[in-house]
This record gives sequence, structure tokens and C-alpha cells, in this order.
Amino acid sequence: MPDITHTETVKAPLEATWDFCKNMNNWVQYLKGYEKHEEHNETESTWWIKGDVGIMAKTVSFKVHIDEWIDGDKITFSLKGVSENMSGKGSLKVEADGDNTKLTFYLEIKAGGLIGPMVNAVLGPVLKPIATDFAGKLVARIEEIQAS
Amino acid sequence: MATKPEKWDLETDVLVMGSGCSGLVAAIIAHDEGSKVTLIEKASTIGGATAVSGGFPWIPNNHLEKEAGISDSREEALTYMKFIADGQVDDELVEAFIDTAPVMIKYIEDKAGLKFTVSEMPDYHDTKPGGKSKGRSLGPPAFDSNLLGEWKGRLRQAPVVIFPMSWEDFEKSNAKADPRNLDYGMLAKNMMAGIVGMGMSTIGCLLKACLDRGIEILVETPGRELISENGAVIGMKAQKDGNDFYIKASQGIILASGGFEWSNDLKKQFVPGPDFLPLSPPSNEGDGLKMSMAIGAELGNMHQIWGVPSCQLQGEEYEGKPLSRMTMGERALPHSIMVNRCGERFVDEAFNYSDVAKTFCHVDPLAYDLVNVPAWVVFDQQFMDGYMFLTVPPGEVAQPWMIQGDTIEELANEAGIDTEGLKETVTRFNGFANKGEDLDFGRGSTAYDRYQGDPNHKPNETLGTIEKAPFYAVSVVRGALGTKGGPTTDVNGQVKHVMGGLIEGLYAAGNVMAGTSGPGYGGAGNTIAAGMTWGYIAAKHATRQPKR
Ligand SMILES: Cc1cc2nc3c(=O)[nH]c(=O)nc-3n(C[C@H](O)[C@H](O)[C@H](O)COP(=O)(O)OP(=O)(O)OC[C@H]3O[C@@H](n4cnc5c(N)ncnc54)[C@H](O)[C@@H]3O)c2cc1C
Repeated sequence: MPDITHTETVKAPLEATWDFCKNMNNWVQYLKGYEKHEEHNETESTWWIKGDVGIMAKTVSFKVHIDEWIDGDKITFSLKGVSENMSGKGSLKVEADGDNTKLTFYLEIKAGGLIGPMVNAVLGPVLKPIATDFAGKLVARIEEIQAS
Repeated sequence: MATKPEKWDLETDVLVMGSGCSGLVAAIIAHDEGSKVTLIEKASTIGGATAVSGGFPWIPNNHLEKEAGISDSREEALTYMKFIADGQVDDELVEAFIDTAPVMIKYIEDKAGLKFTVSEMPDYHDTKPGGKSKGRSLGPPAFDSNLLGEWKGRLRQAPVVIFPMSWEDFEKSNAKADPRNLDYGMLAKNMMAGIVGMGMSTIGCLLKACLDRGIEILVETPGRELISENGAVIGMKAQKDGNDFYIKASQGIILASGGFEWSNDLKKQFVPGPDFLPLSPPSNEGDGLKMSMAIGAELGNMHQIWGVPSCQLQGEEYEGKPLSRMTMGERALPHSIMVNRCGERFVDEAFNYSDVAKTFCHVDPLAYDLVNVPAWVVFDQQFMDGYMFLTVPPGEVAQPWMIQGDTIEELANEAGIDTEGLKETVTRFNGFANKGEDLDFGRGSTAYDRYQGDPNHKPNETLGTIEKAPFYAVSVVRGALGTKGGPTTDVNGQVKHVMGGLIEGLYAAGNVMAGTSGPGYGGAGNTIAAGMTWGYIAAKHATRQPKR
């Protein structure tokens, strides 16, 4: 199953980093290909993401469920394609690192069904750039808020 | 037309514009004939429409069918091709194609290492004189793109036709009718290992042959204007890194820049009928056509396209433009029909896509209206359970772009199709399906139709009832693999001047030229075969010219 873990150091204390990460509305738009999202309640939302897998791009909508929310520690969510045979998991975890914070982003996406293995083969290589891009933007935004 | 620069940025003997099958073959031949060759490509990747295609050439009377014991002859090929061209192409051009295509394909096999295999695919009019039920359409092998070295990343990626395997293996698996016959785990491994198939394989092999020969290839270098002197084309103004880039070509320029299907202006000016969706990559904007018009080329076959009933699925893009998909089994397999807004069938849906697409142009003179636009493919749950519909494998859930109804009436209402019309059509079609004979359009009566159907479905491989709810409809419109009008050429591929005579130093090959099949499509691979063959012919002639 294609997955990626990416860690960055944020030049901001843990509280400030968590304050930003704890609310999905603050960061979902930094996901590459983000088009829009709708929040249905505290734990349920739908995301529309235009996934570019190199050979083509496609807008896919996911039902997102916040599975776990541990204050000051991590937020874990699961994804399920609304009409696509795809599912996945993700998390954002924060850990104090002196005056800074270590931010770890995890994402796994898996296509199912008959042609799932081929979709997964094209998904695999794009997860790393997605994670790097997302974490980079997140860090920049948190540091920008911290500086202001 | 650009003026001659004081200093050329690059000097070559033969300049080829475009890196599809036509351009790559032209470059290989020009090199092998002893000339210095430069190939320029507008896009950042190599391969054009050829790379995203099935990668088949259609070569009548080829050596592979002879080896396989399939009979064919020059006479049969000529009879058939003249029928296909329908009197709209000079006989001498048809003859040049028929005589050179087998020589070209043998040369490419021997000297460029691209070995095709005979496919089971029948000609598109297999029942007509000279038509064959197999042998002329040649399937590409699998290709290891790692052999391209640092050019691997420059091989254009196909968005739809992506099976990383040889056509021979694909055909044997019968995955066309039942995709469950393929091992997708193995295909995924192939893909990750850099194995490519279909059009990417054809292009990969040809590109490798160019690289092995040290042919100079410049990507992201669009040709812009031709430069002539004393009536002969001597060079081109291109663009490189945002600057004008002047290339001298002492023996000739071969335009191989594909069709004009991505130019809305040219489409409107030249192609009658409803608008059509381009299925090629977006860089095919008719540049070569405009360049040749600017120096007085005679044009031909401008109103013809390589048509195909196509669909766009919401949210899919290729290089920032909407991606269009061709329909094949969706129309031809059992349990599906194609209807217009009156709910009426209007064609043998399983027949060759090029001629089926022509029916979208049918006009009701009184209503001054295109009667078959819009159209829908209508199918039922039996289809969904047994076959693949575009991106949806058998047995998987319906997608939002599929209109659904629990009854035929409900489906008709949802889609905006005449309810009574559709009900009558489905009832009548189900009768044909049960008998195995389509009395209205003869679906399943040709070898071509049956090849597109399900070999395990009897008595007629293409006919199955539409009776199991839910029912589905998907909108289908005219699309094009490419256009096929452009500068007319002589038997050497040299471009003709509109006022008579030839334009010295200028050649055209492939979809950029006035297509030598006229309105027709001989069989799977006719477009690639024509491109490769005219690239071969043009290069042979250009390299025999004295250097200017
Ligand atoms: C899905 C699909 C399946 C198909 N399957 C088949 C098949 O199996 N067999 C078959 O015969 N046909 C098939 N076709 C059609 C076939 O792909 C094309 O007709 C054929 O490849 C055209 O070849 P070409 O060399 O003329 O042009 P192309 O392959 O399109 O190459 C033209 C190249 O010129 C470049 N170019 C354009 N303008 C410039 C410029 N100004 N300067 C420099 N470069 C320029 C383009 O970027 C492009 O790379 C298919 C098409 C599609 C879309």
C-alpha cells in the first residue's frame, strides 16, 4: 500500500504548532490539488482533491473522518473515496523539540478493485512530493503566524 | 514567412518537425541515408499522439502476415485502399503508400529493432473487396523504457492506453472483453520496472533507434515559420528557451507535427459537423499546417478527421486540458446500444469507430438540426456485471457520470431521451438479441464487429438484451484521434504549391498532410502506418537532394 511519513521541524513552540494543527480547517487547503472541502460536523467532512499522478489529473472526493484527536499530540483521520474505490489514512503528530516542534505527517492511500494494483503503482511515486509540499507549506504558515 | 537571418543558430541537412511516429521514422531514414538530421519537438516529451495511442501500424501485404501464412497481395491491398479512399485521393498516392508501407515496416524491424506481431484484428471493412479478416494490423511489443537512459523521462506518458505488455499477450488474454483475465499485480510490477506497451512502446523503440544513431533531438523547441529563398524552403525560425532560433536545413524540412485538432479556429474553418473532442495531446495545434499555408501550400482533405465516438468524464485532465476517452467495447459488447434523443438507434454500434462517428454529422434538413447529437450509450446491469465501461471494471459500483434509472422510462426521463422511443427501441433490440440477428443495422454481421464483441457470448458476440435494472446512460459525442487534412503532397511526400508545382525543400508526413486514405480508415493502424510510410518516403527523397 503506498504510504509516506514526512517529518519537519517547525520554528515555533509545541503549543502554537498544535493550536494550528488541531483544526483541520486550518490546513486542509495546503494539500496539493485541494479544490474545496465541506465540514459536516466535528468529525466528518468531504474533501475534493485534484490528484495529479503524472499521466493524468483527476478530481476525487473523499469522505474524511477524524478517528482520533489527542490534545497536544496528534490528529488521525481516515479517507474513503465517495465514488472512487480508494481509501486511506493520515495523521499529523506534534512533539516538542527544544523551543521548536517536530511535525510528522503520515499519509497512506490505497486503490482497491480489479485495477487497484495499477492505480497504486502510479500513486506510489506521487505521495512523497505531496507530503513534502504539504508539510513545507504547513511549516511556513505556522512560522508566519508565530512571527506576526 | 520569416526572413533569412544573418546567422543561423544551427545548420543541418534534414530538419524534422515533430516527434510522433512520422517524425521519428523520417529522422531514422534520413540519418541512415547519410544526412545530418535534427528533430525538433514543441512539447517537453517525445511521442505526440502516437505515444498515447495503441501504437499499431496497419500494413497491407506485410512480411509478417506472409510468415504467418495469411494470404494478401498488392492487388487486394490496392483494391481495398482505393475503395477506402473513395475517389478522393490520387491513385498514385494510394499506390505509393501500398508499395512502400511493407518495405518501410521491414526496414524498421531490421534496422530500428521495432518488431511488431500480426494481430487478429480484422480490417475496418473486412467484407469489402480486398478486405481481410486479419493480418494487416500489427501489434507493438513491450518495451523496456530504461533502455532510453536519461531520455526515459522524456517519453510521453499515455493517460488511457497504458497496458505495460505486448499487444500479442493482451490479445491472447481476451482482456478486451473481460478485463478480469489480466494479472494487474504483474502489470503494476511491469509498470514500476519501466516496461511500457502500446503507443509508448512504438515510440520508445523508435526513440531508442534515434538515440543510438546520435540524432540530434531538441525538445521544447516549437517550429514557428518557414524561411525560403528563390522559391525553395531553406530553413525555419523556431523558438528555444524563449528566443528565436534559426535552423538551416540544406536538403529539406519534413513537417511531422500532427493534426490541428486542438485549434478551435482551424476546426471551425475547415471541419463541418458538430464540434469534436480531441483525443491527442494538446500540442497538436496545426502549427505545420499554418506554416505551410503561409508559403502557399495547396491544401487537401481538410474536412476529414479520424473520428471516434468519445466521452469526457468530469474532473479528468491531461496536461491541463479535459481528457477525452474513446469508446470501443462500451458500444460493441452485449447489453448496450447507442441512441439519439428520440431514443432511436442510428447505426451498427459495434462497427469501426471512424465510420460510426460520421453518423453524428447526420442532419435533418427540415429541422436544420443534427439528429444524432446528443447521443447516449444505454446499457444495463448485465453489462456492468460482465464488462468494463470506460474506467469502471466489471462488478464495480456505478459512477456519478452514469445516468441511472430503475426502469427504462426513468432512465429516459433522467437523460432527456424520448421515453416512448427508447422503450420501443429497447424492446425491438431485445428481440434481435434473443435471435442473435440485428435486422436494423446488421450488428455482429462482420468479422470486425465480432472481434469487438465477447467471444463467449452466443449466438451473436455483440448482441445482448437490455433488461436487468438498473439501467444506465452515458453521453457520447464526436471525438477525433486527430485531423487528417493539410498540405497536399506528391508521391515523394513533397508539398505542392497552390498555384501549381512543388515547394522545393518542403515535405509533410502523418496527420499534418492531406491524408492519403481520404475519408476512410482501412484498419487499426492506418493512421500510424501512413505517418511512418510518408515519413520514410519523404526522408528518402529529401536526402537525395543536393545541399543548398
Ligand atoms: C487513444 C488513441 C489511440 C490511437 N490508436 C491508434 C492506433 O493504434 N493506430 C493508429 O494508426 N492510430 C491510432 N491513433 C491515432 C494516432 O495516434 C495518430 O493519428 C498518429 O499517431 C499521428 O502521428 P503523427 O506523427 O502524424 O503525429 P503525432 O504523433 O501527434 O506527433 C506530432 C508531434 O508534433 C509535435 N508538434 C506540434 N507542433 C509542433 C511544432 N510547431 N514544432 C515542433 N513540434 C511540434 C507535437 O507536439 C507532437 O509531438 C490513436 C489515437 C489516440 C488518441
